[in-house]
Parts: sequence; structure tokens; C-alpha cells
Amino acid sequence: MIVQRFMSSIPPFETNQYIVGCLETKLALMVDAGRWDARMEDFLADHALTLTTIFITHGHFDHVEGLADALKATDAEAFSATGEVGGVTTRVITPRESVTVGTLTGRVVAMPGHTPDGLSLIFPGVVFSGDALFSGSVGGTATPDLAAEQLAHIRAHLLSLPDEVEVLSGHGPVTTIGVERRFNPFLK
Amino acid sequence: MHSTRHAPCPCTTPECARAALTHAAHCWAHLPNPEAYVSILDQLDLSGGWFVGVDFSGQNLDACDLHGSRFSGANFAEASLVAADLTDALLDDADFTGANLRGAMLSFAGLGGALLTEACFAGAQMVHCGLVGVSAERADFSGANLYYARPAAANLPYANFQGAQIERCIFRKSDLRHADLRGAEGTANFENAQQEGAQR
Repeated sequence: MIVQRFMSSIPPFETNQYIVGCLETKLALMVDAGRWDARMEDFLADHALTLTTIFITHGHFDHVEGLADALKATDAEAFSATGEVGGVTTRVITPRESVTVGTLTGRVVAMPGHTPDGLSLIFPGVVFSGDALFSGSVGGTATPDLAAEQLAHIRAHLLSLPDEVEVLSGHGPVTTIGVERRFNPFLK
Repeated sequence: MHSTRHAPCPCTTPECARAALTHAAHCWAHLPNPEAYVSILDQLDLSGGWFVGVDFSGQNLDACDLHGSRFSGANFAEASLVAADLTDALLDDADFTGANLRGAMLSFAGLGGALLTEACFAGAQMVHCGLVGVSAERADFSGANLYYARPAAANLPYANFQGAQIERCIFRKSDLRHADLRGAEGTANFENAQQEGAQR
């Protein structure tokens, strides 16, 4: 597996998206699509990767603004929880389904709270947490009930993973499950 | 084929569950000659690699390209990493006690739980750097760019942030007692931070 982060300024946010490549088959997945530009095209070309799948963690504009351009430029198929994000139709994917790209298979888990349609994608050793779990923080929610719901899902699906699992989130730096379990003020 | 950060190969020691280091067949614990391994690393490509637990203490890694590599639990105590590129590196629980990272590039790196006591990050690029739970007493961040860095729940007593860029930096629940923030620029988040004796 090869993973590359791309950060885009999408005012007022600075948002991450990721390309995950299968080294054996040269097929690739993109997690979120805040932008589609030469950085992603060059990365795919440099590694001889073909983008086949786009996984949307949730429908906020800073995660989907580049989706239409990405679909226009590639033959990739997009997946989201709702089947429509940012005015673009996608295939619906539900929790407990999986996303397969070449020899890589990620497990989809529900992560409602920040948005009702929130999803995370878990590969062996790496989780793409979307806007649910960040380094030292969690996704903002509209009500305390939604915060509690999000926290319950983080505990059930993410904190149950081994300490060494990397967390790659929609904003900010890389972290690990172990670090967040020990230090994240919102998980105490 | 050798280990990379996201495609680590298993250690060849029977029944060992750990991953082999990049440019080696063994994990750090089973490396037959660890000193020889470390001594040649500065001649090799160290980006995107797997260096979990390696002892780099006292080594000179100035200007080395270490970006995107995993150094979880590695020992960099008293090492020199001046102007080294650690962008996107995963450095959780690493030990940088007394290390010199002046002018290093640490943007988007994850240093959660790392020991940074008396380390020097003066002038370092630490944009969106993960510093959750670090122990950084008397560390020097003077002139560093900490834009949107995340030192939440961090121990930063007597740390020096003179002239640092701290716009959107998240010091939530950090211990900043007696820290020196004189001349630090920008609006940071100090929610529930301890700031007794801090200089602003």
C-alpha cells in the first residue's frame, strides 16, 4: 500500500484528502475529493496508478468540491453514504460493506455526529477517520446528543483498534489510535 | 522488496510479529548489528520508510530527507536534525530529549506522546504539526512556525515560544506554566490551558 496526503485550502478550511495505491495491481482509491488538480494527477502518473474508486467520508463541501472534476477526469466510481454529495450522484455504500481496490480491502464503519452521513474507512494498520477523529480533537457537532453519538461510534469502531494503527483524518496531522486513546481531551 | 511505511515486511526472525526495518531483514529488537545499521543509514533513502524503535541517539542527521517515514518509539535523544525534512513523518512516542531540530521541517508530522524535553525547534516549520500529549519542558520553539499545530494536553512548562507563529495553534488543556510567549504572533486556542507565570 502507498498513501499520499493532499491538503487543499478550501476557505475557511484546510482539508486533507488521500490517494491510496495498491502496489501489486496499480489501482488506486481516493478518500474525499475537496479538490481535483495537477497534484493528484501527477501523483497517479508518477506511480503508474489508475484511480478506480473515490470514497467520500461525508458530504461537507470542503470534502466534495472536487468530486465532479475527478469523475470527469477519470473512470473512477464514487461512493458515499447518501448517494448524492455536492450535487453529484454516487453509489451508496453502507456500514459493514467493504471497499476493495486491487488487493486492498477497507471496512466501512458509520461515524454519525459531525454529519448524519459520516463514514470512516478501516484498512489493516490505517484508518481514514474523516471528520470524526482528529489529532487531539473530534468533529464538531450541533448538539450534545450528537456529540455523545459520535463519541460512542469512535469508541466502538476506532478505539477498539490496536494502538499502532495510524489515523489519517480530514484535517490536520497524522496520529495513532494509541496516542488519541491516551491524550485526546475529548475521549477522556 | 523492503519495508515501507504502509507496506512493512515481516521480521525474518521466527515467531517475531514485528515488521522489519527499511533496508534490513529484521526489526530493531532482532537486528544482528544495530550500530552498523545506523551508521550506513545516512547514505540511503530514508523517506517513506519503517524505522520503528531505532536508536538514532547522538546521530547527525542534519538535512536528511526523512519525510513520510514512521519512527514510532525511536530514540533521537541528543541527535542533530538541523534542517532535516520530517514532513508527514509519524514520530509518536519518539524521544527527542536534548535533540537539535533547528530549522527542521515537521509540517503534518505526528509527534503524539513524544519526549521533547529541552529539544530545540527554533525556526522549524511545524504547520499542522501533531503535538498531542508531548512532554516538552524547556523546549525551544522560538521563531518556529506553529500555524494550526496541535499541542493539546501537552506539557510545555518553561517552553520558549518567543517570536513563534501560533495562529490557530491549539493549546487546549496544555500546561504552559512559565512558558515564554513574548513576541509570539497570531491568535491561538488556549482553552483550559494552565498559564500561571507564562510571559506574553
